[in-house]
Amino acid sequence: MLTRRQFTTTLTGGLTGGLAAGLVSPGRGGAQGAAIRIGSIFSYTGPAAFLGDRMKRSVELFVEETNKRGGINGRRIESIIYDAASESTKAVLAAKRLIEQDQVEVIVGDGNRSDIGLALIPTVQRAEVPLMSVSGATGLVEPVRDRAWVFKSTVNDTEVVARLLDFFKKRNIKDVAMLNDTGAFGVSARDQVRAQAPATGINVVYEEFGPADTDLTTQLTRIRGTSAQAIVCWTVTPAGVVFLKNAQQLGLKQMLVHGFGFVADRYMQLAGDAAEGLVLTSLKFPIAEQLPDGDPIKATILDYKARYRAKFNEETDVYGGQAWDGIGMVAQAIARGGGSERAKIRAGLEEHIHGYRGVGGIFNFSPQKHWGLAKSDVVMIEWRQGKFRLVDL
Amino acid sequence: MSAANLLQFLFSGLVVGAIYGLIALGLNIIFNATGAVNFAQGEFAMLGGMLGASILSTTHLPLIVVIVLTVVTVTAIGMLMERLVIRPVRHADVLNLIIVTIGASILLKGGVMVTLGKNAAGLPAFSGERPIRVLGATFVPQALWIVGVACAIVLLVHLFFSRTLIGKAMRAVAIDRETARLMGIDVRRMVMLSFALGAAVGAVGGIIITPVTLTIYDAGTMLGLKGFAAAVTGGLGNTFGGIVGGFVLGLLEAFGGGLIGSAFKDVAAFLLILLLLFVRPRGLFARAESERV
Amino acid sequence: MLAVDRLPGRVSGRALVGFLVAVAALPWLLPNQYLVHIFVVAGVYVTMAMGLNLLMGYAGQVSLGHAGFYGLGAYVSAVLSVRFGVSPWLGMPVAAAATGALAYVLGIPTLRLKSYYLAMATLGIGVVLHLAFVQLYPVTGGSSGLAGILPWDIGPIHLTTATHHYLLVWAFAAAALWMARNLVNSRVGRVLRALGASEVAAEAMGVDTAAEKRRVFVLSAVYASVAGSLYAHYITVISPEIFSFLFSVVLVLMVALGGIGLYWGAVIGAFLLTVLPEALRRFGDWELPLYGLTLILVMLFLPRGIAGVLVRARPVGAPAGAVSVAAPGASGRPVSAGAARLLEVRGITKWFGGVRAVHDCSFDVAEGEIKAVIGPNGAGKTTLFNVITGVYAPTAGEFRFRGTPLGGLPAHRLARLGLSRTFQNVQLFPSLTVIENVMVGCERDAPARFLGAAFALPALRRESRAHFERAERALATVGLDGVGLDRAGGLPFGQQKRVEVARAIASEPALLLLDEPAAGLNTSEKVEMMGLIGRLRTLGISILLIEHDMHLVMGVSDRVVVLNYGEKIAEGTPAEVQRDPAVITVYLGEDVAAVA
Repeated sequence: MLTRRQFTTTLTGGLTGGLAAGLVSPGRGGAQGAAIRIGSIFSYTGPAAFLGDRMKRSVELFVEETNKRGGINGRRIESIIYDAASESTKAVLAAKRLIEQDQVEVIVGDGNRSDIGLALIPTVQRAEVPLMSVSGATGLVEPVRDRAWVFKSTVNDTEVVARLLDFFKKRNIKDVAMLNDTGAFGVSARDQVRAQAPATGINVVYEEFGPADTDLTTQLTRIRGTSAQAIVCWTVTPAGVVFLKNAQQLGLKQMLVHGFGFVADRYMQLAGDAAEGLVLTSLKFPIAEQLPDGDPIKATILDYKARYRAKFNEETDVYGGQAWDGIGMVAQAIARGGGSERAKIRAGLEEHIHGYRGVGGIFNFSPQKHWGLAKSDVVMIEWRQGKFRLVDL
Repeated sequence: MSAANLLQFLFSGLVVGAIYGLIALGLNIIFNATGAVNFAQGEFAMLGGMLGASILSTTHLPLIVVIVLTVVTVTAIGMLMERLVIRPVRHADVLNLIIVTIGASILLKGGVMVTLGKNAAGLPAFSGERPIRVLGATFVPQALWIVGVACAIVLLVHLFFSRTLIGKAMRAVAIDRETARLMGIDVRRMVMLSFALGAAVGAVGGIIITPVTLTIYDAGTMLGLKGFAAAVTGGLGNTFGGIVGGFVLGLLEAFGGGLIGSAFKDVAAFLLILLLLFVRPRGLFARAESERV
Repeated sequence: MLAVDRLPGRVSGRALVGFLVAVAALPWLLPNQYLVHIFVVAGVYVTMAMGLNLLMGYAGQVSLGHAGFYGLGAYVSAVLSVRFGVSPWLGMPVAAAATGALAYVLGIPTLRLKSYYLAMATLGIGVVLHLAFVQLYPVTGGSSGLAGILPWDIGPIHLTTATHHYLLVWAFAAAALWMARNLVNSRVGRVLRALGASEVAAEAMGVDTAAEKRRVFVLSAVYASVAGSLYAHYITVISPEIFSFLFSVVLVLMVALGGIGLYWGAVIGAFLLTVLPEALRRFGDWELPLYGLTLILVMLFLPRGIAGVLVRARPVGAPAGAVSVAAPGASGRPVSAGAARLLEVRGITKWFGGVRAVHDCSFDVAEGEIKAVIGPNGAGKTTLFNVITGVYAPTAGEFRFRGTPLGGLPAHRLARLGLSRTFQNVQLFPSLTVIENVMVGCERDAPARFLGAAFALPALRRESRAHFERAERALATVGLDGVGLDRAGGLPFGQQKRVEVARAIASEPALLLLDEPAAGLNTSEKVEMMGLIGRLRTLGISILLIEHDMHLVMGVSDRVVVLNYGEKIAEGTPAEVQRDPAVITVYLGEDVAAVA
C-alpha cells in the first residue's frame, strides 16, 4: 500500500504529466514541409453542436477525398480540427493553438456562431492568418478594411432579410412580427430588419426569447393582439420548434416564417404537423432536387450530398455545405494562387474565386467584398408533407 | 390586455411552474436525506426525456412500456451515482458534495452527448395535441398531464415523508445522522433510497415535459437552475414549498414576460428570488429555526 | 523570527517570491506563444480565484455568482474604452470602484443569509447581471458582444506579444497575491478564519462579523473586477457569456479543487482549470465527460483539494499542565458594601413563538462578585445568558452594564464594552490553533484595519505580537501552556473548555459569563475548574455562571439565583438557597419540601 506521500506524489506527477502531454500537439516533426496545414474551429459540443458536427465531417470528407486524389498541386492536406464548445474563450484559445503551435496556414470555420466568429477576428487579424467564417452575421466581414483577413462561405443576413422583405412585398404583407432569440444570430437579423423594413413600408413589431426557452406562448399571445399578418422566428435552437407548437396550440392563423438557421429536416419532424406549411428563408441546398436542371449549382449540391451520404451514412444539411464550400474555396485559392503561405491564400481568395460553384450558391470574392453570396442565392422554401419545397425562386 | 390573454399567461405560468416544481421536488427529497443539494437533478430530468426518446425510436415499444423502462433505468443511474460518487464523500464538507454532484452532472451530460447524440429529441404527447380552449385561452392536453402528475407526485411524496415509517426514517437521517443510526435506521439504505426516489421523480418530470419542450443533452442545466431557484423560494427541504415555489416562479415568468416584455421574463424571476431571499431568507415556508448555542 | 511568525497556516514570503520568480521565467521556457497565452489566462484566473478563496475558504461564505463581478469589471472598462476612448489604466480602477460599490450594497442583505440561501442569492446576482448586460444592447452590444476594446499599452509602448501581456497580467496577479498573503498572515486573516469556523463565537469575542464579511466580499469582488478588466483589454473582444453561471461554477471549482481555505489552493486550482480543458482537447467529444470524471475523481481522492494533501496536520498531544489549584472562592462571602453594580438585569422576558423562555427576571451582579444562576433543565438559564450577551434580543425588559443600557445591542458591541462569555456547547474555532483561538479573544479592543493588514503595515504586526503575548499569558493562567500550537479541534473536551476560558480571559473583560463550565468534565477536572474560577476573581474579573453541578456552585459562588420555568424563584447565598423551601420543591418535589 502506498503511503500518503507516495500516493500524492504519483497522482500529482501523473496529473502534471498528463496535462503537459495534452498541451503539446501530436507530432509536428518528421514529415514537415510538404503538407498544407489547414486548421478548423467548429463548435461540435454545446448549444451550437448540431450545426458543428456536419461542418466538421464535411471538412474531413473534403480533406480525405482531396488527399486521395493527390492533394492540392501534389501536396497533401493536413487538417487539424478543434472544438470551440460554443464558447468564445475556447475558440480564441483554439485559434491561438492553431496559429502558434500547429502553424496552420488558414482557418476554416469560426465556431459556427456569430459571436464566436467576431471574437476570433482580432486574433486572426493580428496574426495575419486568413479565416473562412461559416456564420451569418454581417459584421463578420464588414467593413472590409478592418476585416482584410476574414472571408465568409455563407450568405450575410443582410441579403437574407432583404430577400424576405421582397417576398412579403410580393405577397402583399404589410404587417409583420419579428420574434428573434437573444443570441448574436437572432439579434443581428433583428437589426437588419430594423434597418431595412422602413424603406419597404412594412410595419414590424418586435419580440424576443432566450435561446434555451421552452415556452413561447407569452410572446405569441402578445403578437396575437397585434395586426401582424406574418410571424418571423429567427433562431438556430430547438426553441424554434417550441415556437411552432405553441403557435399551433394558440390557433394562430398568421403565416409562420423561420430564418435560414432553422433549415433542418430534424426540426421539422420534431414539430410534427405544426411545421406543415412553414415558410423558411434558405439557400438552394435543401430543395436541390426540385431545381430546374439548368440551375448552375444543382449538380454540385447533389454530388456533395451523395458523397456525404456514402461516407457517413446520414444526410448532410446546408450548414455542412457551408463548411464544404469554405474549404473548397480555400483549396482552389491555394491551387490557383500558387502558394500556401497565409498571405498568398488571402490573395488567392480575393483573386481566384469568381463564379465559384459552391453548394450554397455562386461565390464571388473581391478585395472589396469578402462575402461571396448575394440576394439571388437566397430562396423561399416551405415544409410540406415531409419535404422542403421551393416556394419562391 | 384582454382577459383571454391574462388567462393564457396564467396557463403557461402554471405549466412551466409545474415543471420547475417537479425538479424542486427531486432536489428536496435528496436534500432531506443528505443535507446536500444535488446539482445533477436537472440531468435526471434530461435523462428521462433523452433515454425515453431513444428507447422509443429504436424499439418502437408502446409508450407506457418505454416510460417504465426509462424511469427504471434512470433510477438505477441515480442509485449508481449515490454508490460510486456520493457515498465516498459523505463525511466530507458540504462543498465537496456540491462539487461532486456538479462533476456528476457534467459526466451525465457528456455521456449522453457522446452516446445518444447532440440532436434535440421529442416524445409523442400522451393524449394527442388538440388544443383545449377555455374562455379564449388554450392549452394542450399534455399540459394537464404535466400539472396533474406534478401535483400528484408532490402529494404522494408528502404522504410518504409524513405518514410512512420509511419516510420518517429518511427525514430523521437528514436531521441527525448519528442519532438515526443509533436508533437502528440503516442510514446508507436511506440515502440510497433518497437518490433512487429523486432520480425517479426527475425522470418522470423529464418524460412528461418532453412532448411540450423537447429535450437535448444540455437541457438539464437550465432545468436544474430553475428547479433550485424554486426550491429555495419555497424553503429548501419543504416538499410543498418546492411546488409552490415552482408555481411562483413560473407565474412570474409568464406574467412578467407577458405584461412587461419578453426581455423581463428571466430577469423578473431572478429579481423576485433575490428580493424574497433578502426579506424572508429561509424561503416562503420555512419554519423559524434557532440555533442552540 | 518570533513565535507569532511561525504559526501554522502562514504563507511564507519566501515561497511567494520563489513562485513569482518561476512565473517570471516561464515564458522563456515555453516553446510557443499559444502556451504563453494559456498562462496569461491562468494569471487572470489566479487573481479571481485568490479573491474568491478569501471569501469562501477563509470567511466561509459561498458565492455562485462571482462571474458577475468579473463580467462587470470587464464590461465597465471595455465600454468606457469603446464608447469614450478611456484608457484601460483609468478604466480598470473605475470598474473596480463600481464593482466594489455594487458588492458593498448587495452585500448588506446578501451576507445575512446562510449556506444554500447565500449561494442562491449570489447565483441570482450573477444571473441578473448577465441578463442585464445582454439587454443593455445599445451600450454593451448585447449577445454579439463588444469589439474594438482598447488594448493595453504602457505610455507609448503597445503591448503586442503574448509574453508582454503575460508580464503585465502577472504583475497585477503578483500584487493581488502579495496583498492576499498579507491579509492571510495578519489579524484579519485570523478573524476571517474564526468567522468561518464559528460566527457566533467570533461575534461574542467582539468581531463585527457583518462588517468583516462585507469587507471580504467587496475585496473578492474587486479582485474579480480587476481580473475582468485585465482580460477584456487583452482579448479586446468580450461577450456576455463571461457572466455565465457556468463560469461562476468553474470559479468555485478552482477554489475547491485547489484546496479551499488554503492560500496555495487558489493558485493550484486556477492553473489546473485553465490548463485542463486545453489538455483534454485531443479527446474531442469525450472532453466533456472526461472533465466531469476528473472533477469527481479529484474530490473522491483529494477531498481537501490538491493543496490540502500537501498540508500535514500537526500532531496533537503535548501534555497540558494542571491548573494551579488556588484556594477556591469562599462561599457565602458577603459582597463588600458599596461595591459598584456591574450588571443590572431588570424584568427580562423572552418569547420564542408561543414559548415563554424567560419571564420578568431581575437581579444584579456586583463588581468582584461571583454569582451563579441555577435551575432545572429548561428553566431558561442559557436563554437568559443569550439575551444578556446579545445573541437574542429580549422581548421585554432591559439590562444595564455599568449604568449603560444595553438592550438590543449586537453581541460584538457588548463584547467591546467588557462582557465576555463561554458557551455550553464549546464554540471554539476548531481549525485554528489553540493560541490563535485565544488571540481572537483580543479582538474586542478594536477591529483590525483591513487596508493596513493588506499592506502589512508594521503597526498591525505589533498588534499581532501583543495579542500573541496576551494569549500566551491567558493560556498559562488556565494551565495549557504546552498546547498552543495544536489544532484546537483535536484537543480533548476538558482542555477545549479551558481554551474557551483562556480566550475569554484574553479579552480582559469586566464581567465573564460562564455557561455550564463543569459540563462534560470529570471530578478532578471539575476541581481544577473551581480553582480556575476562583483565580479569575483575583484577576479582577466578575463572574456570572450557569451550572448544574451543585458542589461547584456552592463551592465557588458568592450568591445564587434560582430560576424555574423562566422565573426567578429565589436569590441568596448558597446556604440560604439550599434551605429555601421553594427551591427544594422545584428540585426534589413537594413531599420532600414539606418534610424539610
